[in-house]
Amino acid sequence: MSDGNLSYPGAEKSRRLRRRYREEVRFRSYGVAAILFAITSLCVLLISIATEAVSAFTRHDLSLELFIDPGVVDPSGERDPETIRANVSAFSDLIRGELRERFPEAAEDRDLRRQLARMVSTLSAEELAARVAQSPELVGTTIRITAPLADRIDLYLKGLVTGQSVLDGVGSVDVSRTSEAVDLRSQGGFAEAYRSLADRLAEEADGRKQLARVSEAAIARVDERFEALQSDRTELTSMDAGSLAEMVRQSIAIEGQDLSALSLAAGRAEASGDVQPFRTLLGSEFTKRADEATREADELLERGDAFQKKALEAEARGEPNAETRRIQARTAYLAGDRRMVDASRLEEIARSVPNLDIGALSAVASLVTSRPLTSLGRVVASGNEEALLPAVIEINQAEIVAAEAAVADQVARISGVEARVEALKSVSPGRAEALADEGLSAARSKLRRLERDLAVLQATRDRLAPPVPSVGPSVDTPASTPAAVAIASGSPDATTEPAESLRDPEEFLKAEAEAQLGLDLGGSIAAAYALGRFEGGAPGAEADLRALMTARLDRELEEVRTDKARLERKRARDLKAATDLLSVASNPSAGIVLDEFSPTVLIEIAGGVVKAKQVSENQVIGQELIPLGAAGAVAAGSWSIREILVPEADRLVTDHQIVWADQLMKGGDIVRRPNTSLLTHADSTYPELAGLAAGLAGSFWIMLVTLILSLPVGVMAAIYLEEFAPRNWVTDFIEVNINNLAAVPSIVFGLLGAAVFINFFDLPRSSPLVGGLVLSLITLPTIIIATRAALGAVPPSIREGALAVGASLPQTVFHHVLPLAAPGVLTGAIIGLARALGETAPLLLIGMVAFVADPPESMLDSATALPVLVYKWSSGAERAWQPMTSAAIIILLIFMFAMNALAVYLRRRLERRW
Amino acid sequence: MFEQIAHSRLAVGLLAVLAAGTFAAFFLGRRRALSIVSGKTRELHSRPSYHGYLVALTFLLPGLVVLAANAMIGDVLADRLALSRLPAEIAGLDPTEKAERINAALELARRPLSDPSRLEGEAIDASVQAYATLAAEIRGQVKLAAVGLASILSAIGLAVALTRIRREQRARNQVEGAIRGLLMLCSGVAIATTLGIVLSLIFETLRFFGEVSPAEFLFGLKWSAQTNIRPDQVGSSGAFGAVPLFYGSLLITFIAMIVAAPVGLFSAIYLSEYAGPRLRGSVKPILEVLAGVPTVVYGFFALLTVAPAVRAFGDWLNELILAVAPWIEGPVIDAQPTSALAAGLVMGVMIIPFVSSLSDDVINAAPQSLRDGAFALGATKSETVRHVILPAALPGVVAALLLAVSRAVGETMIVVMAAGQRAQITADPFQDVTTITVQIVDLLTGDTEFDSPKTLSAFALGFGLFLITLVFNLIAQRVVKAYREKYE
Repeated sequence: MSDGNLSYPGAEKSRRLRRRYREEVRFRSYGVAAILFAITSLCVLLISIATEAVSAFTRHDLSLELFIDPGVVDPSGERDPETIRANVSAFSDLIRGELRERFPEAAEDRDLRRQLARMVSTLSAEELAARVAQSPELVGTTIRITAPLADRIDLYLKGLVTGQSVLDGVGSVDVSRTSEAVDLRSQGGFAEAYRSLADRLAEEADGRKQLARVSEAAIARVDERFEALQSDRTELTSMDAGSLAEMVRQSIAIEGQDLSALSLAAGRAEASGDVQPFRTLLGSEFTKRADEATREADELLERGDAFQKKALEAEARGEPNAETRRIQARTAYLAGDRRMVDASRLEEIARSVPNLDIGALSAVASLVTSRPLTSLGRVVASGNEEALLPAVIEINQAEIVAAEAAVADQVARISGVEARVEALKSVSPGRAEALADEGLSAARSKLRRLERDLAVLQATRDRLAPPVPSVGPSVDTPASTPAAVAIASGSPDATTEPAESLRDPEEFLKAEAEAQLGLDLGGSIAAAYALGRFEGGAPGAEADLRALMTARLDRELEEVRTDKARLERKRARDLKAATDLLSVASNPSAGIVLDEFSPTVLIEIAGGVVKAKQVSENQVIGQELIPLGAAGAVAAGSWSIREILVPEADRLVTDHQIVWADQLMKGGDIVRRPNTSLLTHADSTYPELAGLAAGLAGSFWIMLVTLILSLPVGVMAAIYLEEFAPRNWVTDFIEVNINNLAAVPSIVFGLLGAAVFINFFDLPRSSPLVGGLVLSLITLPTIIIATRAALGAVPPSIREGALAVGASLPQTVFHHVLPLAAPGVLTGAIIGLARALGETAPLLLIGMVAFVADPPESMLDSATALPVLVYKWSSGAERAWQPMTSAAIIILLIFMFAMNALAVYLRRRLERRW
Repeated sequence: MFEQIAHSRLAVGLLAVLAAGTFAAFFLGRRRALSIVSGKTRELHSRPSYHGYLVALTFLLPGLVVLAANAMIGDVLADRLALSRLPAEIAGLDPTEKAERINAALELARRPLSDPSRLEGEAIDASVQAYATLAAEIRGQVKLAAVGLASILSAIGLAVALTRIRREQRARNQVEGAIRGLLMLCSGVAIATTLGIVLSLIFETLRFFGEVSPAEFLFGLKWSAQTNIRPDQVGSSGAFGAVPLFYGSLLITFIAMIVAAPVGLFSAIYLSEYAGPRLRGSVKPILEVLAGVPTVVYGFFALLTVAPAVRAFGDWLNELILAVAPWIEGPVIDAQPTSALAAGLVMGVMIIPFVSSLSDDVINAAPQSLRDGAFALGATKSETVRHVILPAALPGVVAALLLAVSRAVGETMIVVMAAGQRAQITADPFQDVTTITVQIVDLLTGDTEFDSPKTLSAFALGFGLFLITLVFNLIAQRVVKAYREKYE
């Protein structure tokens, strides 16, 4: 090998060497990059959560001197704590009254009053009531109260709602007042505010232009499509019959299914007189449907049997769900029996098909397609007035045939149901009754509906013209069809309106034609039928076909046209808006009008606050939020402009509330203090009042159960496996088991808990006991593995020494080995518990997501846990939940790190090296 | 009287008595042993304390067993007995009515006597009231019988143990035998747990397959278990095709492994081959912290920071593509607020420490002689690692990756919070997908009724998840074991 190396020339050798070193450096940098990536991820995680959490550790409270007016809170004068406590609304009136005194401008307006009242948390009056009820002597005195602010105000004060910028006001300002507005004038004083708003408008104009460009691109695409359709349309008129048929065939194939095959066959049969293919197709269609119905009926009845059996079992065991089962069985039976009737009816039709003539076949086919089988071509070609009437009549005729067939079918079905009821009576009276009750009534009401439809169609026929018995060649005289035979027995009630003469026949015909078009224009059934007629060589079929396709294309063209018009309108709107915005922005003297979608501009001036409605460089017209002093000139430097960047419409805090909150803050009436309720309160639906107390208590109980169960069991199991167990397949199996359990996803343990502890042993859902049981199963493998490691680390000399002086094996283990291994065991247990503390998924599965207002008092109460609260809060809708969740996470992490630190400390302190 | 007993805390009382009595029994036994040899302990085979332990055990165990049995099956037994003594006016009713009344009565019998809701409200039928009293009395009788049996057995145990104390009795061996039995029992808990998991999952899964065919579950492409299925709705049910869920789990796991495998592996190589002991000592704990952060925290991190960033990135990418290729219509990347990518990235970060610590172990387990040999041939460190150490450690590394995959597939909270709910099969990682674990949590939170296929499907999914992770774990364990043995 060295020979080979030597054969390299010197330059080649050093080049090779350099490459190898470069590679070495690169490989090394991969490792550094990987470690940096891991550390950076951890830092980003901790920092992003911590920065989010910071704001939740403090909160803003309203601090007020409040006179507890006896006349309001305790009119009876009995000073009964319970009455006082219950009189929450009185206390909330007190707080509101005090606020209203501060801001008299709010008193006038209902909406302002509501905004003011909503600045304090909804439940602060309750706290106050509780406090006064505890010491009734406070009634009639003036006390200082602190009431938590509503979460949104709190968030605003923490700067989490909107950015603000203070703009310089240059020069002095002249204040004058009109009846509803304040007029501020200053030579160039508002220039900066104006520029800032104008910039924003220009930005918005850019956005609008962008939108217009997008619309333009869309219009171009629509145009292309329009042209393609247009050329198709022109081609259509000159197309020869063969390619027309091909075109229709393709369009059917796109929507193709057995229905169009059926209508195609019907069209062919009608045109050519060769009925056999149609008959075969229809027969097989019905046979198929009958088979399907039979299979479904069997399935449903079987299901009914199964439910019935379950119901009986449940009843025998006295379980509460027997009733549900019985309902399930009943419904299944009912559906099954109905489907059975369907099946026999369909079979009957299938059997009768070979003996039917073409008219009856079409009528039967319409049962499947649920539309009359006609070509609509002549209706479509409605430009031709003469063609219109016969076409409408033809369709009407076909519809009547279809409707008659449907009625006849329904009548036959009802008698089928009746027969079935009779048959069932001897087998299962309950099922018979159900079928008679529900099946029959449903079928009858459907029959009535069908008959009404038929009557309407017949009325239309009478209105159309002097009744023409058989206009279309396709329609046979109804009397010969089985449908008509059935109709004779169940003749419709005469609910039809009297056949009035046609007052404006043309109008009516047009309306009728439109209605027909709306029903099935160019749909695959009509197209297929027309195609069939064409293929069968019927006269005029080609014209029909062409008219159909033309109408179809026309409709599409119309749609595209509407689309284009819409897009053009939108584009024009956007362009106009852009120009408008730009013209406003570029005309400093005109002024910019502000609404709730633009940033708020506040001018603080002489103790008052004005909200700008219109801003130009030299003038602001606005509304007083906090009343100004007298009109007149205000010197430079004693006024300022503030821009609140988020528009009022996009935030929950109103401009008034912002001004009030700032005012209260300035006056020292709002204090920022540590958010102790985070630890002392239980969960709440209001973020400003929610706390972790219940979660901490719940987690404590769960950890207690986990510790009590998993530590002794785990340690003893480990002792057995490490010290006592013989080496055989049983021990191996247990070992594999434990290693595997350590890697089973925790959610599977949750499933185990739900199935075994809750469903089987009937322990209370979401109780600390069940939570602890599940978590101790999760912790067990960790503790066993750690304990085994600790026991294994004890040198054999210790055991041998003990055994040598005559100790038994248990004595050796319990008196000598275990005490020496204790630090390791303890460390393992603490780390296992810390991990269990953070487990969430299994707790969710045993029902710990429910809202729990109070800390649990026993092992069997409903409880919640720290990580579960994190999960729940994280899905809260209000913005304030986000810092709260982060704060909860920080507290959870503090506990976990404390436990881990304790473990590390113990390991360092007690560990012995052998 | 029996009714009062049924609601009394008699059994708990007896438990306290047993606990106290055990101490007494211990001292009794020890004194008796001492008195037999009149204080000369040398004449005893076992030390007096062992006699005490033995007596205490024989006193405690029988009573404890009976009480435990009573706690588990006592009430069920009593209800069975009550059912056999159904009064005629209830027995004669039609089945539905009958079941309803029986349930009402048993529910009533369960409520404590002092519960005010026992008396007010729902106008309880007289027959129900009477039957409830009967049921409560039977419960009382069963309880009394159990407590009595427990006391008698414990008393007998105590007496027998005390009288059996002899000079030559091997009390220590017997106590140690009992201890050994207890230890064995504890190590059996692991098996019992596995058995419990497997049985409960199989049982519920079979029930599920009774209502939905396995073929639909395994090969169906549509999942919509959440369409609420009314109990009386027949012939139609939700769709239970689990393929989109398995696909979602795999997609997210794949993304996670793309992050975790290289990062974990390279940091393990760096730490074991390049880093000095001081760097090792400070970096390893940081990785351990990464492993110790609860998954719900990772989930929130994904929701708070990563998902918005991923979405913004997706939108930016989309604009970029559209700018480069303006002829493409519509959005190419339709980034969603929650996405597979966000969940996968965060999960990858979570798994880094697993991959790195497991690979660290296997790389360290590769014998030093391999390295020395490579160095002696003039190989650089990276060449040694790439051409010698990694091929030798490959089975172990693969096993580590398998374990990490199994961890990722079973991970729940991150995906619940950041992956979304939409069951769909898509290759676009900016889309939201749903996973097995998400659906399990979704199906089993809220109202859990152990009858509907909706709830049962969660167990079928859980069973699938269990099988997947089990296979991965077993293969990984076997490979690691074989690898260790090869180099030991």
